[in-house]
Amino acid sequence: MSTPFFPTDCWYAVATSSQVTDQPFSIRLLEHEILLRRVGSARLSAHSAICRHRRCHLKGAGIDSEFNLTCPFHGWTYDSSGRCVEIPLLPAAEAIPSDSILRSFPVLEKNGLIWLWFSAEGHLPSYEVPVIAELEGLTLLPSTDIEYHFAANYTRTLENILDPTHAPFTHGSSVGKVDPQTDYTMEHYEVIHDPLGFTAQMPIKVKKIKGLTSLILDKNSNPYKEYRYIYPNVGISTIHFGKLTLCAIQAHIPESEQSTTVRLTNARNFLLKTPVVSSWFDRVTIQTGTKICMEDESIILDQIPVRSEFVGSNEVLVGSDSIIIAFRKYLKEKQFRTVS
Amino acid sequence: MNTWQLVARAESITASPYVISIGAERYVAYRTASGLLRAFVDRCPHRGASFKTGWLEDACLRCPYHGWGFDPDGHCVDIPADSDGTRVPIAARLQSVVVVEQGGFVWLSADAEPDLASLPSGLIESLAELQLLASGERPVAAYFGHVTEALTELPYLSSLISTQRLRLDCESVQSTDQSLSASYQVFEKNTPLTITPTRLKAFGLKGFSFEICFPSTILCKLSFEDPINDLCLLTSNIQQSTQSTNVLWFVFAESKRRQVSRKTVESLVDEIFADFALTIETVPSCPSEQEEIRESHLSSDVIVDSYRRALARLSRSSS
Repeated sequence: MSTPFFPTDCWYAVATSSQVTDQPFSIRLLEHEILLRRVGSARLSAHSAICRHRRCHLKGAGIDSEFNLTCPFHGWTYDSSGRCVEIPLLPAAEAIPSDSILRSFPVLEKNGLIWLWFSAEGHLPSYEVPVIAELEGLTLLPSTDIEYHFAANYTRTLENILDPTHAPFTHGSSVGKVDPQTDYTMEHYEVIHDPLGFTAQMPIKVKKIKGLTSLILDKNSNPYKEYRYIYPNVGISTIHFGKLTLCAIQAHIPESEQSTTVRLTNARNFLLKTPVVSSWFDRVTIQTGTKICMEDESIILDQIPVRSEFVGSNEVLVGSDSIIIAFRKYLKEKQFRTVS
Repeated sequence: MNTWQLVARAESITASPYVISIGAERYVAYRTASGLLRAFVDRCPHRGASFKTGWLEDACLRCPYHGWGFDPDGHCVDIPADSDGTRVPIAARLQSVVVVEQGGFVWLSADAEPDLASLPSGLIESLAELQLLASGERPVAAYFGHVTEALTELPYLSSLISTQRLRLDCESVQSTDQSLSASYQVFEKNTPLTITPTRLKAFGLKGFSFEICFPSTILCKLSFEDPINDLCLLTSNIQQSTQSTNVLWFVFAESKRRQVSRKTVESLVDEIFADFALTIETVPSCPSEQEEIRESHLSSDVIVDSYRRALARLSRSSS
């Protein structure tokens, strides 16, 4: 059995902006239970979701006007930084134990996502969350957010969304058919590295777009797609049909060795003004996105080995897999450290 | 030594990929246009995907992930995304395994050079004369060896018959490299058997016998006062993990004039599986050679003892 190992000392995207409200939003990251919430209008809070008293999960905790959170088990109350401020059954002669503090995490909001700093050894943030250039000129659409759980390793789910050549086979029924006469050949493409990941562009081969979407997306506009990987757990796919651009920003949250939740948000630069048409296209976006997740799931859950690696997976990678090779190389060079 | 596992009825293997899990390994089988069976380790050399949702196209097995096509010998002959004259890497091939169709069933051997002579031909022949009455597939939360052992004592299972009426005929125990068989005698005669208290009435069990083909295919014969009612239960107990087994089961009748209905047979099988929940599914884990098994064995446990010795021999010879 392989030892679970994950990137540490990095910003993990853990939720979409719309998922986090003033009520506790519970996530699992690398086997840690964490609560996210908004405190007032400007501040975000992220701390352990497990009460220090008897390990009760705090996702059902009540929140008072001071933004304090009260454990549903014995009423221990914590402030937004995770410090215990009240214990109802505390004997008069005793003080609140000094170690009754929930571990808190640096957290911020950017690019439509919530980012959490994770360091196994408690180091402070050492770099800034990058700006996602693709989002320039696009409108984020929180109403199209999708959450999907995979009983799989995050390396497999992430490399799947960066994979340019599986769509005609795995997603033939949801995205669009490749013309049987068309060859599936993927021309050589460049993988361009940057300090926190890489990007690659390639033409879109789909020749028959499904349903009403074909009225909007012109297949004769030399469409192309663009993938971006942001270390450690974000994948972005952008498609360009002429001037029309659609962008999906995906956070692949590693919960444990074989459990990953994908939280994604979408952005586009068209069909934004007319509410009826706009909400119709939002629904199409959600339906298509969910169907794609289901189709990918049928593949990913059965992949052997569970985790993809630069060496050790015993796989035959070919020219069109350049981006997959780049991804695996990137992870290898980052030298994962064990999270205990 | 070679071992064969019964993995499917012959008609289950068609031009659609059929996936079989045995222990930690997964295999995919299909039938070519000319009717030949092909089977491989179910793992695309490209990205480790399963062919479960793959398909056959122009005599090629296609991977559902990136459409790589494999010829009937398992060699990759088409990589759609790299089909601009790039040579297919030699390493891009599937590892084949041997499957054989006999007696209406498909047998798989994971051995590199399996010996056809070690197929349980006697058992296969005896099946050919019987009529298939019902069949199915059931997951059991127990070690596959425990499932097989329990079936050697089928009549003892509480809902079938009270334990006083049958006794192992020790003289009948026969053991070879490939199989183990024995029969039981009814010693309290004239007591009608109530196979299930309500549904299956008074056919008068005369005897019970079984034959195990290692590792875990077992044929159980229930014979009755009137031979037209004789039934055979064949199961293939396929290991999934140390605590889970996929049981393929088939019930055959000796005669068309049988008095027992298909429905009764199905509920009989249901009761056998229900009994597993109270017995073998409560046994903690598989017996390992390293671990001393704390069980008190009687002389009547000779069957279990010889079966476990055979499994230990098999696992030694395969490792």
